[in-house]
Amino acid sequence: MATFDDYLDELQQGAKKLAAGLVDGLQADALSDMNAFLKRSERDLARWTKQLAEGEITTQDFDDFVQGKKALAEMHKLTKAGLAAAKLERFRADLISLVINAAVKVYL
Amino acid sequence: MIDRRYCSRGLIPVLLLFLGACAPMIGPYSPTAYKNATGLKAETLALMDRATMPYSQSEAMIEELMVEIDKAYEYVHGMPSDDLSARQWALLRRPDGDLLGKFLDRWKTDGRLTPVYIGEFKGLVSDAFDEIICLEANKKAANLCLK
Repeated sequence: MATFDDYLDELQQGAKKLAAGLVDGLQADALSDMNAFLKRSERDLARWTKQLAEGEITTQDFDDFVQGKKALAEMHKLTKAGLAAAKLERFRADLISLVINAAVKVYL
Repeated sequence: MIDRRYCSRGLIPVLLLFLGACAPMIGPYSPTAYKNATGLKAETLALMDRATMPYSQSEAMIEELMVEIDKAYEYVHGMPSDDLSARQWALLRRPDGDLLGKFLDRWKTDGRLTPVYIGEFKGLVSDAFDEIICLEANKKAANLCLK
């Protein structure tokens, strides 16, 4: 009986083969993306592969879930970019306040 | 060696010019956008539960929901510097996409969906709404909402 670890091994080996077709600079990025995806999806993948093995879901369902998880990863990237932008925006606002408050403190 | 006082005096006007010249990096927090996201999350998840029944029985409700989601997208799309939020809504609602669009397409094609499929997909759609809500909340104040 196949285990989830077997599945992960298969994924890792397949990803390495796919990445081998990329130019050197992109290989590390591709494998890093794959590992990040697996890390975020491991619990879901474990549950979905179990459901697939037990016939609770179809291959099409499994495909839908994985594609959905990929779309979610894109949304997560946008959130992270937004959080970084919001942080910089707050820093900028604080900096302006600092410039004004320092002037008041020093000169008045 | 550069005089520290000269450096400070020169730095501040340059800094002010720089800060003043830049457009905002992200749009301001919008209570309306936040309310849209949280409200539509609840409505969407409740509607997804109906997918054990035939699509035709919920068609009118689905159309109403999609109009509300389109409105929420258009709202953030029209806000200045809110491209990231608009892109999130676009990913969620795309009819040929892999989130809500995929679920509704499967429901329409298959007629009805299994409880397992609905449960798993609700998790994905719920997380997608949470990403939108998390980004909006962080425009107001730093909020540890990322999973």
